[in-house]
Amino acid sequence: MASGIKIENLKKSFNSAKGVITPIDNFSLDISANELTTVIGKSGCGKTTLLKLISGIEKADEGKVIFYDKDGQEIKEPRISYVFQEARLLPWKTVGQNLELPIRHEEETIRKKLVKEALELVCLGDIQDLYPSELSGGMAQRVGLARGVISKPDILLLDEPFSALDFMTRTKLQSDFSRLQKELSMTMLMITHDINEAVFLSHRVIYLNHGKAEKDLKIDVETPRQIGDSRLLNYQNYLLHSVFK
Amino acid sequence: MSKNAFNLLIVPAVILIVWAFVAHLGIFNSFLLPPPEQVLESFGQLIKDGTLETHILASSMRSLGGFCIAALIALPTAYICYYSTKTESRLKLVMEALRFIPPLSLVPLLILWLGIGEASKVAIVILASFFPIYFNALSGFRQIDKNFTELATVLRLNKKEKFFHVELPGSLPSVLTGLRLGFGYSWRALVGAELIAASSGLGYLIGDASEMSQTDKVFVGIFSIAILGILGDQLFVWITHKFSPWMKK
Repeated sequence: MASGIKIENLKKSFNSAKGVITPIDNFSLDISANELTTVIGKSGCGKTTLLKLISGIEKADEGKVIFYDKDGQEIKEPRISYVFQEARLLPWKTVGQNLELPIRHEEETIRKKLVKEALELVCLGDIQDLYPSELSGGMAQRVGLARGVISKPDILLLDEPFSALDFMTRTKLQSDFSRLQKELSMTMLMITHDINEAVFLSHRVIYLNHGKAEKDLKIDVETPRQIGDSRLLNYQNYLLHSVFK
Repeated sequence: MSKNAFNLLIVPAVILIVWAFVAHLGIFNSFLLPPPEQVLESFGQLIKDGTLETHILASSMRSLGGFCIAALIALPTAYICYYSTKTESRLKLVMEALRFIPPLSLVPLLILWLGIGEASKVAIVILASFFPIYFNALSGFRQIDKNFTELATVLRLNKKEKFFHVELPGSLPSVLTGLRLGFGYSWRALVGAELIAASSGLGYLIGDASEMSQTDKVFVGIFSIAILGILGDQLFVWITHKFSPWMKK
């Protein structure tokens, strides 16, 4: 079941060599279920911290994150998956074993079936028995994506999932992901510093600056989108002007 | 013969030839340097009458027993110290001080406390192998990639799952290196202890043969230690490859 996310007055500070920094300060946001919302912003603006707070990796100093179903009822423990910037596959596990981790409580036959389906979903063949060190960067990132969706989570968090890839692989994966997103129908929150990627994939783009949502833009073009769709250009230009004004 | 086998055997072969040559020239008395064939003959004799087997078994049991006890204490201690910096800092000074004390220097004290029997020899093995196992395991746990502990949080792994899926395999290379070093140290310390106070074992065989001026048997004891050491070490290499196949890939 897809879940909406309500972020209320979130604050997070860290101690650093330069003193206390507060990447997220009194931040509020409502993310609709079944949509892909992307947060863009410059390095250090608090994008990754936001995802870590939502996923539970980090604990907020103030404020809270509430998850709710389509009837507006609060979900106490939603199933959350996280796709990292790098594939982050455990090197001591094969591809199959890595993919089985989020579904480890299922029966073995179900696990095998789901692993096969997840690999097919990201256009990878029979590579269950390979170790991560035997995969190319693009293949590893696809496996990371497959691990993110295999448990059919309520919420999928994506931390610059394509940024570590070369241009060709990135473009192909973005295109595949646009198709996937339609098939999966789950709530997704992605962060990226790539405006084109944000506009191409998202239903909604938020520009985060100094810990605040400075722009909030709805992309009114049906998904999955085609690379080079001219309707997306206006959105890209608008965001570019917002960032470099 | 393959190139690897040639590279492996060339130096021992040269040493053997030089040894045989020097021994047969008669530069040294055969009492000081017996020829290889005499050592080989003694080797055969000691195997035939079961003496070598008895001593190897005695040393192996002590070494393996002490080593296992050391591993059973060192690995959980390292894991506790990995999670509790307070425990680690409280133990730190004692650990640092003890690891610089050569185990053999404790033999007189251990004989006084534990007697001349098996306990003092096993205690020497424990003291010799504990520290490399402990420090390598602790370092291995600390070197686990923080990204993987974040992944464990996201995957909602409980403590047991986190240990078996992330912490144990993540630290395994260091843990196995520590076990390998610990095994080597335990073997060396044991033979030393057996030389000083024992009535069986390879150290005793060497000491006894030396007192009886049977240099060929001394060589048999030394070669047995070397061969068993290499076999033990190879066993660890095999275990490392067996339990961490991803390292080969």
